Amino acid sequence: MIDNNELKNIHILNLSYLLLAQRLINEDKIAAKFRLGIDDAMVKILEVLTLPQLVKLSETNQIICQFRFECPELISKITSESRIDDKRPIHTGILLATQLYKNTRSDMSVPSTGDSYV
Amino acid sequence: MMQEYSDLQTAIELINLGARLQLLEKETSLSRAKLTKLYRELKGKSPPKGMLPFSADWYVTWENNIHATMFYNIYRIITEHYGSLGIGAIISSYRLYLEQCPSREQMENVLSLTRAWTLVRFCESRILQLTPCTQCKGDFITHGFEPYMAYQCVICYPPSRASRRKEI
Repeated sequence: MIDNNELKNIHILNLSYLLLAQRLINEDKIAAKFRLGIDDAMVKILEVLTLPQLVKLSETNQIICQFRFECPELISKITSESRIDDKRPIHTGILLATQLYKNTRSDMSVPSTGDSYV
Repeated sequence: MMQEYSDLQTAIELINLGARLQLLEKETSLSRAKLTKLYRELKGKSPPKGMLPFSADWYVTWENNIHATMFYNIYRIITEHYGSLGIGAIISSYRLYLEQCPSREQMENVLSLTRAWTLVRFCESRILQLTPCTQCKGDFITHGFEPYMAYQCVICYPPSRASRRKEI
């Protein structure tokens, strides 16, 4: 069991994440989708949540945002010593973007309403 | 009237991001004279003359390739997945690219907006394409129409001349 302090830290992290996500969405939806790696449906629901609702979402002992790196080998690759160390951040950017592209369902091919599962 | 206003907004945005006059002429319906005047007002100097850079080879040399790849990976998502279109998509992608690759002080950015715009043209005509690196699984800009069975990107397999840029 972790102590209360660490549990609080998780709540705070969750809430900060949600608040940041909302700010990013308000500023620029397309850029926010790219930065957060979330789809249109998720953007639409997140942007209208009130602060009490965000708090509700945050108060769990699990972290609510997903780790974006899918394979451990990639992390060791990006963090290993290299004579082109200064290119590492952009390599990370490229790999995350490529992966996001492959994992994202196109907004345009999705039927306009989500009624199918009602 | 409305069209002219929105063209003007686009032109201002493009000039501030460093666009060349030819690009402005293609992407807005404003006259060359108007654009030149606008350029002078914003930049305090006349727009550079001469042809646009047109070599596709530029994008496959190593540092340029990394930057072009970053830009195009962003552009691909927001056009194909998020439904962003036209010059607006290029502007959004370029902004996101700049955040990842801020220019060093006093130095021009590796990939200018005009280069990014030309890159999109090259990819549309399949002269350039994205090819997956067999090592890191990232998609990188390569020449089009070529089979790449065991492609390794310029970061996983950098050319021998590539090294940390010397501090000047």
